Amino acid sequence: MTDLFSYINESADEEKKEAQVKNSEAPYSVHEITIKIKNTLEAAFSDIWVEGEISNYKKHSSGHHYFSLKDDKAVISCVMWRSTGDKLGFDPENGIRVTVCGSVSVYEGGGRYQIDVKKMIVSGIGDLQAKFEALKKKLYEEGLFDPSRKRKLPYYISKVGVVTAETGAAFQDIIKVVRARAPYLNIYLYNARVQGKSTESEIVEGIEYFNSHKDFADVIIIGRGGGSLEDLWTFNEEIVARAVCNSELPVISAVGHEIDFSISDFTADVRAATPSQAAEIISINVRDELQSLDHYGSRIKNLAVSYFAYQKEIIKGIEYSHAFRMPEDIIKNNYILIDGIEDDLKGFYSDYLEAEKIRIGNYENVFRSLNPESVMNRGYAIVRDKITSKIITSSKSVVNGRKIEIKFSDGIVDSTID
Amino acid sequence: MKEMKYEDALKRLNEIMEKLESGQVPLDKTFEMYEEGMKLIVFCRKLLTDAEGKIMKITKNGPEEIK
Repeated sequence: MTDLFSYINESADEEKKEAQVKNSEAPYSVHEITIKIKNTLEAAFSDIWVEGEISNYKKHSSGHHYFSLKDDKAVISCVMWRSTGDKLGFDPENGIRVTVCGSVSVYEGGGRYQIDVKKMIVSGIGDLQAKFEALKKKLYEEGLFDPSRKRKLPYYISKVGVVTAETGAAFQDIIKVVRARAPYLNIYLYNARVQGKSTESEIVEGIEYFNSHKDFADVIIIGRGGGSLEDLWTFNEEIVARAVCNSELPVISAVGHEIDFSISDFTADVRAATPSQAAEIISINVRDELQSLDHYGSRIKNLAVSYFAYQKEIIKGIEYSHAFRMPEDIIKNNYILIDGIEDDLKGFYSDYLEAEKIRIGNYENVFRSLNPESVMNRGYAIVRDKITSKIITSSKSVVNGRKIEIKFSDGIVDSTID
Repeated sequence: MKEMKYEDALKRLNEIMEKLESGQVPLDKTFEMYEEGMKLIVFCRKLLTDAEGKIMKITKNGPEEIK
């Protein structure tokens, strides 16, 4: 009985104590405790990264995204505001694994907490990105990106091997650019799939094909149009990167848009920002090039014509010079020689002109730029034997002590060989 | 000339022009160089304009023209 009595007494004491606690601290209101939880949670979990699978995804008509992230043991609510969602670059959907960055926020009215999502990336892509960086580092350390092992492309390319999908935009772009700029260029297509599982081996086969059929390619272009990192992945495969390195023919990598880089871009001899740019790189702009060839033609012709005209003047000068009378037949022979050359020269050029139907531009400018006197001013002179009056054309035809005369543009001096 | 590369032809054209401009080339050589220059130009033009490029697809039987 004593025990029972004391037990009751003790219980009464406990109740007394509890009553005392309640009296000394007033209970929280629901709101108060919620605010306290809110402050605690929001302070503790701001800018955190959470990975999980999307479920209950709903895009509200307001444009905001509501969904849950879950794993096999728990679920957490998430909200992503429209402004963030618009910048994603992909559409979230149930079942995909994502990593989000955000802060926990507590919604007092509903008594719920959620993650206020500021960033979202597809987890798979995160893995790819890591793979990309790892391979890039590995190949870089092997020296495969070394600029010194990159070859210069030939200026004139008559045939190009293209490894891409026949139906893709890349191939059409290449054809378009080449046709417009360089109609002489032959394009050989090795049709390869450029996206999806095991497609990397098709790219490698294409590179190897042209290396064993060099009649079809001076250079190789590998590439495809734009897409996501996953779409472009074929060109980030190690075997593709290595096949590019091992190619005996120079390789241009033209994958995606300007902002897209692939591992094959780093190992290729040349990286083109787009397939169209690759086509520009390999083709000479025929219209511009023909113009510059015409310029060469007229310039060389004018140089030669004025040179011969000047030679004629010199001989004329000698002919009329009383001091240096020359046997008439020598003069005549010289005339015949030079006139003949001049005729040949003009004939050759006019044939060339008519055959090629070229219009010569800049004739006058070029002609003016060549000053005939410059030939003499640069040290041109005629040397004669003083006794025989013959022109000396070889050092072997003079002996020590022989008297000679040197005719410059502005006068004559006597000299002696010693 | 057939074995010559386009870029070699351009290089040689430049050389010829420079030499002719220098005025140091003897009479007979001047004509030779002139003639060579013209031939080079004809050669280059031919490479650019004579050939009509084709679009070929590699098949099991080798390249076949498309379009």
